Amino acid sequence: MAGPLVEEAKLLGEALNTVKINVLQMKRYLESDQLMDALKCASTMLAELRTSSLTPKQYYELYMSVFDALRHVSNYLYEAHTSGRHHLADLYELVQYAGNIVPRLYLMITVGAVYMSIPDAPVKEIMKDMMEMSRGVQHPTRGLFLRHYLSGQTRDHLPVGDDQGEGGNLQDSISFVLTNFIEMNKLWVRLQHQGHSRDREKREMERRELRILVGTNLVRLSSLEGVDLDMYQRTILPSILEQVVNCKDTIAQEYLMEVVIQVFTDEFHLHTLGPFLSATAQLQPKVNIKQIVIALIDRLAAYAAREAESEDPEVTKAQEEAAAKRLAEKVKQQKAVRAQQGGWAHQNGSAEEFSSDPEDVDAILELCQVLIREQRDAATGLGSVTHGYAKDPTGRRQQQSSMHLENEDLAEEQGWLAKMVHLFRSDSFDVQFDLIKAARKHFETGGDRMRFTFPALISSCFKLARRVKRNEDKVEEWQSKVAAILKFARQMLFTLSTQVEAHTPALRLFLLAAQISDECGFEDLTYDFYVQAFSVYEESISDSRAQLQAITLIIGTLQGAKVFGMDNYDTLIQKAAVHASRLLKKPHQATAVHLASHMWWQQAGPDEVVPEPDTTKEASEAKAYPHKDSKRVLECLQKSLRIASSAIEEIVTVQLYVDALDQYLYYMDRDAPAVTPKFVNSLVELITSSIDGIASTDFHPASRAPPGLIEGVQTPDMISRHFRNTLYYIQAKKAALAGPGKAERPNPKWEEIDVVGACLKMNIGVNGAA
Amino acid sequence: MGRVIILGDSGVGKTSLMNQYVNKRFSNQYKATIGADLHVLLTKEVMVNDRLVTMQLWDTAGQERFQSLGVAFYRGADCCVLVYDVNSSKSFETLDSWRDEFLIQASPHDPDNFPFVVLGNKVDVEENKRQVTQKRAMTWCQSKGNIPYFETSAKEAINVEQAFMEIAKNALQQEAEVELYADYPDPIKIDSESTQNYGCNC
Repeated sequence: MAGPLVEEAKLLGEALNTVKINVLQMKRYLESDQLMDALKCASTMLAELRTSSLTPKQYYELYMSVFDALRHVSNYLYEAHTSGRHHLADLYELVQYAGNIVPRLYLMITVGAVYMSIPDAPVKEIMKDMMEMSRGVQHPTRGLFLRHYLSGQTRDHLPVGDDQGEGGNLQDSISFVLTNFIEMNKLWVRLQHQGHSRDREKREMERRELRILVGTNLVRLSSLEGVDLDMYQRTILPSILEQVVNCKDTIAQEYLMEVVIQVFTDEFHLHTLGPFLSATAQLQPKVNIKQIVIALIDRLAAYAAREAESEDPEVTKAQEEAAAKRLAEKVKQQKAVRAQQGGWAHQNGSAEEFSSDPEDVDAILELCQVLIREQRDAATGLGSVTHGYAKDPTGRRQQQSSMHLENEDLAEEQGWLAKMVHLFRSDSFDVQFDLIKAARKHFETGGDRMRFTFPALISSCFKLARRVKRNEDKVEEWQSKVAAILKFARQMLFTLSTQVEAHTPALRLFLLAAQISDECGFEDLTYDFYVQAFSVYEESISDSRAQLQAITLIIGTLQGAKVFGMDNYDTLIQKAAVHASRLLKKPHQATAVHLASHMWWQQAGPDEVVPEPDTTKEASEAKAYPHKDSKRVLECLQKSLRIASSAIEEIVTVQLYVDALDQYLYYMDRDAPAVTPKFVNSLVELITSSIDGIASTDFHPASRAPPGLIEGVQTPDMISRHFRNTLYYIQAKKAALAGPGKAERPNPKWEEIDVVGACLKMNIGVNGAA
Repeated sequence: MGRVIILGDSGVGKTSLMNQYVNKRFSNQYKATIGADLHVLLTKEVMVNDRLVTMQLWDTAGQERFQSLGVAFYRGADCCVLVYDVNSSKSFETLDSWRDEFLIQASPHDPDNFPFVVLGNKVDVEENKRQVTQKRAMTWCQSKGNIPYFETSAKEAINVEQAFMEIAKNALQQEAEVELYADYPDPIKIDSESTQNYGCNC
């Protein structure tokens, strides 16, 4: 590689030198008014630009040195014309006798541009002629630089008025720049298809270097004075986009779309999102559409931010919303082309839904704003779809591309969609409910994607139900509204558990639904939610640990249930207890059973006012809450100990004993009559006598099924520490009881607990010092 | 002809300053030069020391990624204007790298004494948004060899005329100095080079 580079650098050095020498001579001739000789020098100097051996950067350097030199010529020409020594019209003809086309055209442009700056010049004619003649150079690099020179020299002299005659008008200028742009883009694209295919990378690099020359034309268009929205909309943008789409070249499309976004004003963009995005949809498959859409959004976001600072907030909001709406609609169309299936279609669908309902204007705008905020992420997803699309050469592109989406990608993509659900927000409860309903309509066509999107919708239903309940005194018939929302959520929950088999989320959400329905006081509905939770548990949750977790959730939820009458509550907790005792593994059984005891001991919160039992009602109608039956509690605890003792490994048994001890202490402290200190004492004794057995246990911890809810194995050390902490706790309680009378004395039952032996065993000082 | 290069991050107002100075116009609508312009050249005639001189102002893209063809037009510059936005610390902090980049690319004869001028633009924005104090900017300018410093507003035409007058003076002085050093090319080569014939005459 070093060889050609050195060679090129040498060539450049030589060329620059030639230029330098000729410039000096040329200047001297100009000073002495020898125009013909000066032009000859200029021509020699310009002939250096005929080379094909320089890289674009080197060619640019050469071009710059020539460019500087030609400025002297321009200045001389202007002065010569105004002082009457030469007439530019003659010179324009004269320079065209130069032998080589490249020098000839550079000279022609130099003279022509100066001529354009003269008052009453036939500007229109000159422009037309120069544009025609420039077609003569078809070598990409040389042509691009020549046309760049044309564009740069004429920049300040382009007519911007409405002269219908020779002087030319703004329309002429626009079409002049547009034509130059189109021709340059063609040259630029053609470069891609020249030479050997093995040089493709090098060519692409060169093209990236040269792109700025093409883009400059767009800057020219944007800085043309007097161009208004109408011209942009009718002439400029359609011509640019047509060229961009038709050139079918990835590099050109990516670059030019970005340039369009950057160089034109925000106002123009806001009014032309439609054509812009529909052109985006027609770009080559490999084009990184994400980048384009992001650039556009960044641009509009920056605009919105600036406007928000300086303008009346109301106006800004209206504009922003209108823009957001337009963008959302257009992106929707565009994406419908690109990714007909999948979540995108649904997202788009929701926009459509609301757009067609003029009543909920607020909701529409809200949704659109959501869409614009989320577009960034949407684009990410779109990118991956596009990617898959591009990679697959077979006919079944669409089909396969979505199959190729990795599960993770799907989860991420759908996760964004699900997040979006929580941004739907209306102050009207009815509108909010409609929003959710409409979203569901679209999500439910998503097949397996409902696994990701439905939970969000369901929790959004719950949120709404709670909002309505909170405002119960303001909402008419709030009960029927909440019931309707919950029933709607129930349908989705069914889908979730049966159709897409998302069992664990479904179970949790059923329980959450039960809690909310409980809060709202719907006994039958609540009962049904529990029944559904049990069904999911029975039919679909088979892993032992998952069962333990599920049953724990059910127990925990039931423990707080307040809505039920005695019969219903009893049925449900019996059922839960039975499930708890039927878990496969003994350690799991033991844990679940001692947890189940809590269902028989509903504890009101510290500040809660428990209604007095209504004695006027039938016993069956009275509420079960707070249900307290200490005999059953004790039964559960004793049963749990029995099961624990049948565990194969002693360490597991002891761990379960220690866990159970905490439960015993809890109930005793809460005055459960059946749970007497006697039981506690004997359990402490039992643990004390078996704790030695675990310390020496010699086995690999991983071989054991951990009994608790938490994954992982407790070491003997952890278990004995747990026990010691419990003993400390007991001692503290006893000490508090024995100490000077204070307002809050512990339950006197603590007095009866005897832990002296255990403390000695565990090396704990009787007075609490270790 | 003094040649002036204007550098600085995108969005600091380089194009606006030039337009204000040359055309006495300001537009609130942001059109990025970053898009693609290779360079924009504006000229302005100024009276410096009772002489009418033409100043060439070269506007640039503020984003390096758009300088895909390199910066050959830095060469032969007579003055370099560094612009930052007083409401953006970042645009101030990058002045160092703009200056270094310029010195490397333009490789002037005497880099230590090459004339720079620093403009803190957008001083029309409310005071509480300002992120770079005058003191901080002046300290930096002093540390770089007493670069002249102006606080400008292209929007309100504050200090623009004064700043460019200083720029013109600096450019003119530099031009005069460079001409002293101007290396004349090797005269021997003239004939051999100029008679060289390239390719076809098509």
